[in-house]
Amino acid sequence: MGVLQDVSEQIRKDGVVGFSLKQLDTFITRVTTGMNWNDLRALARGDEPRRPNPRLQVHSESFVFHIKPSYYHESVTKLTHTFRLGLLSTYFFFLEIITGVFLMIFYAPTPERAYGDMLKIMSGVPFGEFMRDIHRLAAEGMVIVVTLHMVRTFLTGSYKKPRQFTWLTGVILLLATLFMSFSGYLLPWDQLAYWAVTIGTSMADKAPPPAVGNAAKLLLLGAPSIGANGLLRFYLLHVLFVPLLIVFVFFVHYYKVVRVGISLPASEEEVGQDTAKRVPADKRRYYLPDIFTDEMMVLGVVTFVLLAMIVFNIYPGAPLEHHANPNKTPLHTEAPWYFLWIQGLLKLGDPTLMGVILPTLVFAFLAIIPYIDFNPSRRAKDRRVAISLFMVALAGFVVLTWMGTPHFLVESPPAEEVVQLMLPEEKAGPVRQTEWYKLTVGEWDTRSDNATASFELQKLMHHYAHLIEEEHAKALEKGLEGLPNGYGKMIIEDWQPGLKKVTMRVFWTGKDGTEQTFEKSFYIHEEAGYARH
Amino acid sequence: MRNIMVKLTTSLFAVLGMALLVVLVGAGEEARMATREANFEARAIENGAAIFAENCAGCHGIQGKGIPGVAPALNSPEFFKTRLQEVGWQGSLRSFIESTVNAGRPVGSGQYSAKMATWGQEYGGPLRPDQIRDVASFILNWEKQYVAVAAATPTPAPTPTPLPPDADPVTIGKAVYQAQGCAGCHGVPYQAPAVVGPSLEGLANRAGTTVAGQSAEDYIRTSILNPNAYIVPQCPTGPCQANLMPQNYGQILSPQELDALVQYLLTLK
Ligand code: HEC
Ligand code: HEC
Ligand code: HEM
Repeated sequence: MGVLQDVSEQIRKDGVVGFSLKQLDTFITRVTTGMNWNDLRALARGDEPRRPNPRLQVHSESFVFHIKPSYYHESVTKLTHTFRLGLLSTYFFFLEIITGVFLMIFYAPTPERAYGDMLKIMSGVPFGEFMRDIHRLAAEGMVIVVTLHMVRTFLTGSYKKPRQFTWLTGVILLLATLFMSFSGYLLPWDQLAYWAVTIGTSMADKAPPPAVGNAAKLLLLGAPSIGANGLLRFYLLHVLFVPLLIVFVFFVHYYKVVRVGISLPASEEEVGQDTAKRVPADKRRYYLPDIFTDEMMVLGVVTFVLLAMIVFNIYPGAPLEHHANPNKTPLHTEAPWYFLWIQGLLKLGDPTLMGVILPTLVFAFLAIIPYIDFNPSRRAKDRRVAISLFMVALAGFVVLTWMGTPHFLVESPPAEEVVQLMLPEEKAGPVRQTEWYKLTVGEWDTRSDNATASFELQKLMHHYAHLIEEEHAKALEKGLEGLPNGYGKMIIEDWQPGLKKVTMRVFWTGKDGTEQTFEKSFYIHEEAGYARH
Repeated sequence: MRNIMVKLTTSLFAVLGMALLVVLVGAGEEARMATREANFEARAIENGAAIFAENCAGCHGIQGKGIPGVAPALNSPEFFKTRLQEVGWQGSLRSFIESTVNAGRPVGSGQYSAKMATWGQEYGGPLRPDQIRDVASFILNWEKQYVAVAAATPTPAPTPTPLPPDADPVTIGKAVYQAQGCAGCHGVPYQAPAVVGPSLEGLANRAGTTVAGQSAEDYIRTSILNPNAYIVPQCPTGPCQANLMPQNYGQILSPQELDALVQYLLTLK
């Protein structure tokens, strides 16, 4: 009764509208943990807060905000100091969780279902393909952003005392991020996934001594090769174990960052000093509203760009190749781009040394950098050695990445290579990208003008002839015999309603003077839609 | 940047932009999903063509026209029009093809020198479930040839009438029996003979006494969920074999479907 009387008393005093507004204001104050409507308006307009400052109360009352410092040193808030890369790393991780949970709903990690579930996500789930694209793009984005964040903290010397441990936890986060991408790679259970991960796990096998390597691989796969057990383990690592690890290590990492403060630009401090934590009152930039709105803007714009890249096909879309097939090794197996450098190393020599020991040393070296760099100065001009080392490492990374691609030191028979370039096992390739009905039925020969073929097919045949010459020249360069007197045929048959059979046949003169051939057939359906993807 | 309003406005525009993009995607989703579905069906046919050329063309002919004395035609009007009635298969043509390819036909009609082998990995063959689906898609794609001819006199495709939710369990059970392809092995009781598995005619009479301690209902339920629990002695072509009847109906059937199926089988007196 008392409450009701109170309420009617209030309404009598303020009127219904006034009373409701007051109630609303109370509500806002509760939600924001301390700021009422006028405080919010003042915040948005950039006015000074009232006293006592309700914005600081938000930091002490709200869980989310208590993680953030209530003010920063003015000098570290410039976009060009951190590029907000730590924030972006965190954000991409959350984006992955949200889109990942969406995908989880429609996905079961078994060899019988996984691939079919991917097809269903892309063809039967509204926004399914969109979510999958975001998940894939943000995963690659996260690898890039985390790496750039490391580069920035290296270049600003922010790993030095007192931030050594921050850096060390950062290296763990980098490894976890890479492993997230790698374990996610297997889940679609297509050829791309299967073979990239086969290479990856065969490296675990190579870890010395053999007993340890073998045990590591068995532990990862639950069997000598990838199968139902391996898929389940990768799935659990991907959706549960590694994310939890990242969350935990992130909090350690970020706690350190907040404790010691973000490092000031080196030029603003004496060498060997660290004044990040003592921020003079006139240098303070408060999280509310300055940094908060900076962050909102950065995240908003980044998300918009990310989505736009997908919607306008600037990002070509998450790939999906044929169903995983252990009996069919692709002509080229390429690791995801961020591991190409390891694949490049592998081409240089012994897999144990190049594939396991060296990469391990690289990451171990990264981890201990703060503990072996005794140079107290964070200024670039005092850090010639460190920065030169960085340049060398960067160049090495770029070169090794290139060496990891099939362009370097891969010797597949040239005729097979030609066919692969015309009609790859996976992806589209020029023949599939030609409109289906322009593939005129008939037997076509690169040596003739193919006058009765469609114009598009004639162009294809020219391209075919050109590829034979090119692969011949490349083979000669490598000292192989190549394709002397090489020519090619393309035989196109109507096979079924909407289905054509295309046979590629490459001819050349062998060492003994006899004609050699290589042949491969493909089936192309009118509606396969390769060109569009 | 000091100007809070500018930053908030930019954020707001970014959010509006995102919303716009999402709406854009949403508006095209229906069409995109339809295209994707067509794409994937087309790719299944492509895969199926390769599987067929590699595994099946040797007996059934390169174009599926059959080889006399070796294997029947799959690319023929009869196969698409009358074959199902001929064998008394109540399910779809796809389920007929997939079951036949999966389990093979260990006992042929005697017209052919060869035997249709067991292809499915689940029965020890070489093909994965997705490959069997793909090769079935390829075979089914021949049908368009014959439909195109028949299109002059269009006959409405017999659409299976959906069962009312309150249909009695026996009716539902019978539909499940047909939809799940049980008929492929057990025939249709009192209508079409069993081919691979034991005939289920009179099942209700013997089910209660087959395994000591199991009621008729328990026995039938166990036979479906765990076929190897008890191996029936006599099948149409000699002793029954273990592992022939699929072991995964427990995962495929919903509890309601299973109950209905059992109810139906209990009527086979
Ligand atoms: C060794 C020869 C042989 C091979 C190889 C073979 N089949 Fe058969 N297939 C047969 C024979 C024989 C029959 C008919 C069995 C009978 O009823 O007598 C048959 C029947 C069928 C039927 C049922 C036809 C009907 O009208 O009942 C289908 C469908 C079928 N095969 C599909 C395939 C597919 C798909 C492949 C490849 C994965 C394949 N077959 C490979 C010999 C073969
Ligand atoms: C691939 C062929 C195959 C299919 C498909 C199949 N079965 Fe069977 N079924 C068998 C064989 C073989 C046996 C006998 C061996 C055994 O008991 O395991 C059997 C046994 C049975 C029995 C025991 C019969 C008796 O006389 O005691 C029942 C009941 C049964 N099946 C029901 C079903 C039902 C219901 C389905 C569909 C959901 C089905 N089966 C699908 C092959 C099949
Ligand atoms: C999932 C991965 C990571 C997340 C989410 C993350 C997050 C953050 C955040 C939010 C900051 C605050 C300052 C800023 O934005 O720069 C920060 C600082 C820092 N991070 Fe990371 N980080 C990650 C990985 C790494 C890696 C790989 C390294 C280096 C190996 C690293 C080293 C550091 C260092 C040294 C600082 C202190 C910078 C300074 O005080 O100037 N972090 N991190």
